[in-house]
Amino acid sequence: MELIGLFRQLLIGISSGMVIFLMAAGVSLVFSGMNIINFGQGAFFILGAFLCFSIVNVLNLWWALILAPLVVAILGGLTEFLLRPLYGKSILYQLLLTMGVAFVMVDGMQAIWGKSIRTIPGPAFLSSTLPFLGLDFPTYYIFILIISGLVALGLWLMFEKTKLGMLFRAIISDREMVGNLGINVALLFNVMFMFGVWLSGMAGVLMAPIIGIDAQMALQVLFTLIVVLVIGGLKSMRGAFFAAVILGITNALGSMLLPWFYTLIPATLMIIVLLIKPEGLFGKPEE
Amino acid sequence: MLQALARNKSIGFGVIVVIVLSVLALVLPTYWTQLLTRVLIMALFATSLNFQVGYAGMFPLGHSMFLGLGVYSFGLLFTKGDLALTPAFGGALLISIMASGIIGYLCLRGDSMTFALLHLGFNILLYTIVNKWISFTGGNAGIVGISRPGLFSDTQSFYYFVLAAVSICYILMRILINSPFAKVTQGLRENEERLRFLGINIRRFQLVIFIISGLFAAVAGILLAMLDKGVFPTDISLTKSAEGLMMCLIGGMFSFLGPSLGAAIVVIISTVTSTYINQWQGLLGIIIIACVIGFRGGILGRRKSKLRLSKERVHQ
Repeated sequence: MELIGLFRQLLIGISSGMVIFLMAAGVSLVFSGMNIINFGQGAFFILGAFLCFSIVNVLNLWWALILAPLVVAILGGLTEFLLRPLYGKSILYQLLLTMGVAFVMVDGMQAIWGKSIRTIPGPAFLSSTLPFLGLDFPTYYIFILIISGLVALGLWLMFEKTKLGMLFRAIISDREMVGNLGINVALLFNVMFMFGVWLSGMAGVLMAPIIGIDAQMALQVLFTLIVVLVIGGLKSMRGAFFAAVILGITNALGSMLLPWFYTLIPATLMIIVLLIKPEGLFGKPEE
Repeated sequence: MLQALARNKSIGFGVIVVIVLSVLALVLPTYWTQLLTRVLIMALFATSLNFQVGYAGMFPLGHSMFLGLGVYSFGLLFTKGDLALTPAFGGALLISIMASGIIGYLCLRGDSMTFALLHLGFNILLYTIVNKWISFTGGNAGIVGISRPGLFSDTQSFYYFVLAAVSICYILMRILINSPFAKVTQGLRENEERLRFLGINIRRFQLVIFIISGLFAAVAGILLAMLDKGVFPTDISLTKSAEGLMMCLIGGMFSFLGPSLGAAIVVIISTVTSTYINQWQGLLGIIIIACVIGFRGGILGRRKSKLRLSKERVHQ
């Protein structure tokens, strides 16, 4: 019995870790390319979830998976336009701007969807459990795992195999050179930012049926992202992956084994990593 | 010579400001006296924040956690700890110093971006703890029942109490800024690398600045708890942190009194609008976006920084 519970929590941990990874990958990508931390990422996640709520009421989850992240990405693109006058200025202004955008979004979402917590009924075919090796696994988490795994795989393929991925990698290693080659860096930044935010919207849709959607939750999501980025190392996509999965698993196991300490687990992990390896588990040490 | 003159001028200016503020309380109606008290407290908060932002060039995105530490440690020592006002005051300061030492040490482990991230992270963490630990902190409703010092319990006399406390803090901060220590921190803002080449331990300087700035913010927090006669989670929220940064930005980060001017503007806007709409966070967001894009210099910013530059040139 204990063991079955353990396996189930492990599955839940890995799949929620994968969702966190999608968001963290977005932040990490934008940071590596544009040297900006997008503090709006948590708010964009909630926006994805709220849009999913509205779309599911009319259509279904599949449409939500396509439409909601798209709308979120377009809003992200608009945010990038606001950032444009600030490139090359102090980082403080850029950070403040993304924070301001997050504030406006949180209040805006409360005005549109209300302050009460919204829930979405999971689709019928995903609300059962799946027997596997004599254990019952909740189907929706397997669904999350598959979809987020596919997105992560797509992300990797895009990075390694496509021209856009090549441009992304190029701009991360040498921004000026890319500009000198006659490539439209401004457009590339916009696409990059939209893509990073799209990942967050995707994560929001995936989590929507299993959380209570509340605009104030944007803060907690942002905190989780900060923990993942610090543990994994700011610019390391690989680090973000491992940190997110580790965090997901410790969270899920912790909620079962140490319920009273559960909410402090992420912070504790982060502080331990900071004390041992301040640049993050996969970050490069400062020169 | 010029510098001494400039300092004397600023002493005279300070005295005039204090006199004007004292007289104001005699003629203003109670509502405005209360508002002015809040302005003074938030001005202290903004100036303490500007120690890091304007003078040391750091990015403390979650400074309200120190305001909140002052508010909550004082409020809890007073209500739950059953201490008298003075020991609660001292205890709150002690707790704030220790907390800012620990948080500062952790935040300064990485580069400046990590600092910004962690600062915000710790702010969210403390806010979450305050909101979730309902039996201890009162959660979303906060705790009421904090009293003011006996002599200063009504609005007007409490205003004078705050004015005196804030003035003392300003004098202390002014002395600190004119010390050789602060010159190093301004060097930190201008060129960190060069200071490192000079063999200066940057981390230690930043940590000292961090603790000092946290301490003054905690004093502001204690005064705020007395003003509101209670502790509330909004005092430790991200919105308050952003308000503080906006005060510095609007007033001008490179002048000593700029953030105080900004505090007056932000507090008045937030109080006046709160009677009409209940969306301060969103409005603040719009103000942030507008100011960051269109108004980066601040009211006192450009003029003062040029003044200082020319002064230093004369000095050489």
